[in-house]
Amino acid sequence: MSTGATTGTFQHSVCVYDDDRQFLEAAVPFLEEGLALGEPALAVTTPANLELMSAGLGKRAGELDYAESAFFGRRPAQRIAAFYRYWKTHAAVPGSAPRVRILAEPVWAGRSAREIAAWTRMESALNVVLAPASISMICPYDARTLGSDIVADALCTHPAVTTGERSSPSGPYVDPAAFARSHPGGPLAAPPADAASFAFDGDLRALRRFIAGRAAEYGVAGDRADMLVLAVSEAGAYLKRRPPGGAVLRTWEQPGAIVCDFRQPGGSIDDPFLGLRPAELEPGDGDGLWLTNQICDWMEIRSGADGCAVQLQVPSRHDQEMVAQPGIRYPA
Amino acid sequence: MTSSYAVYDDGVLRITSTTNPPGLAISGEIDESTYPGLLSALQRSADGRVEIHFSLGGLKYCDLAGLRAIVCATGADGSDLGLNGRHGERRVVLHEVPAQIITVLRIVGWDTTPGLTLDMPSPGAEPRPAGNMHGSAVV
Repeated sequence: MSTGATTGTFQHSVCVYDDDRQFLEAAVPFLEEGLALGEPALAVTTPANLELMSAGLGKRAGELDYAESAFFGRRPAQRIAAFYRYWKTHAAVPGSAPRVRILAEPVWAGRSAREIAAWTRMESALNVVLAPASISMICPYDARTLGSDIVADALCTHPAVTTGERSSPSGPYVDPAAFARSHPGGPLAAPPADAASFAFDGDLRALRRFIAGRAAEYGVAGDRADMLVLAVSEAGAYLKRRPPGGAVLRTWEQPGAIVCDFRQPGGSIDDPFLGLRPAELEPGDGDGLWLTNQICDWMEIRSGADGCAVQLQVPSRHDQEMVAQPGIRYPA
Repeated sequence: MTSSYAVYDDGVLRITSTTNPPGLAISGEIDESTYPGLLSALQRSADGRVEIHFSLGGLKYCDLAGLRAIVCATGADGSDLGLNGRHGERRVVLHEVPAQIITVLRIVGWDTTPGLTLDMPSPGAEPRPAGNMHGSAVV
């Protein structure tokens, strides 16, 4: 069985299923074959499907790595990093298996339109940012619960379609760069009139002092404030290196979030995958923004005739997830 | 950790040579403005050593590039830094590591870099290897 039809070593296929039997007919052979070949295999799906697969795999179920979708990368950038980390840990070291297999079912239920758009763009971006990774991935989509638009987009974001043990090219597949251009995301939130403003002229220490002061003003302290300072400083450092250099940073609080909005008039960012490629020991362009993206709930980049913008959001002091579960957002 | 003399000090980043154990005490802020000073000090202190200790207790800010430079003193990136061809064979021990640095190391996955050890602040405990997700030692 192959999930082929992709370039490079990353293989990315969608499986649209209408019932449990169809899910199992694709998932079980895919994972069984990997385990038989000695390939580490990971299933990231719903609790119901994890139970189904456990029964379907029988004795081999104990060899399977697994995670509930909701907890394996809370946001698209973290999801990509989690996939990449699994490959790096299990297959990209000397003497390990040549490939890993991942069954990866995204969570769609309950998401906002903005989130659905971001996760859809992630599915497309995976084909580029995971291209160097030797991963065979099948993404199950449950047609019983998903809107037809989500299923239709899945055929555009996956180069291959898997049905049972068969895999074939996806006719509607769209080149990821073209997909990103045609799905740019909605307009950014406009800074309110009372937003705090800082003219960033390239002095990163001054930028950090400003954002640390704002964090205190918004009631965010300790590690959370330090991580916000890091996220903003890395974004500033990226913009500083690009002509024309400086930017205007505005910050404000909205329900549940602190927003940090960089605007660089005359600037331009044309890499649709910026901030999504996992950082390595070998330096890469945008590594700092990748870290920013890991820290923030949202990092949105826009570029147009007027210039470019990088807008970040982190949880406000009202967020209780980190109180209830320290380490839920960052590794503890 | 016994300090001896400053090998770099621009008022923002201060790096002091230490002798027992041999290495550097790094304090202040590391970003692109202080990066060249950090890199120079790392290279000079690491040259010819198979084990080096960095005390980070005074580090107030460190960007990703600076952290990469510290981790790469292990030679894990293929850089030599005075290892004379023995890539990745230097043991780098980080002491008094600020919480944010540990968080970032884990986010980026560099906490499992071969040769890197985090001396975690647990009273009476021996320095523990950074390890990997299975808990085995990485030295």
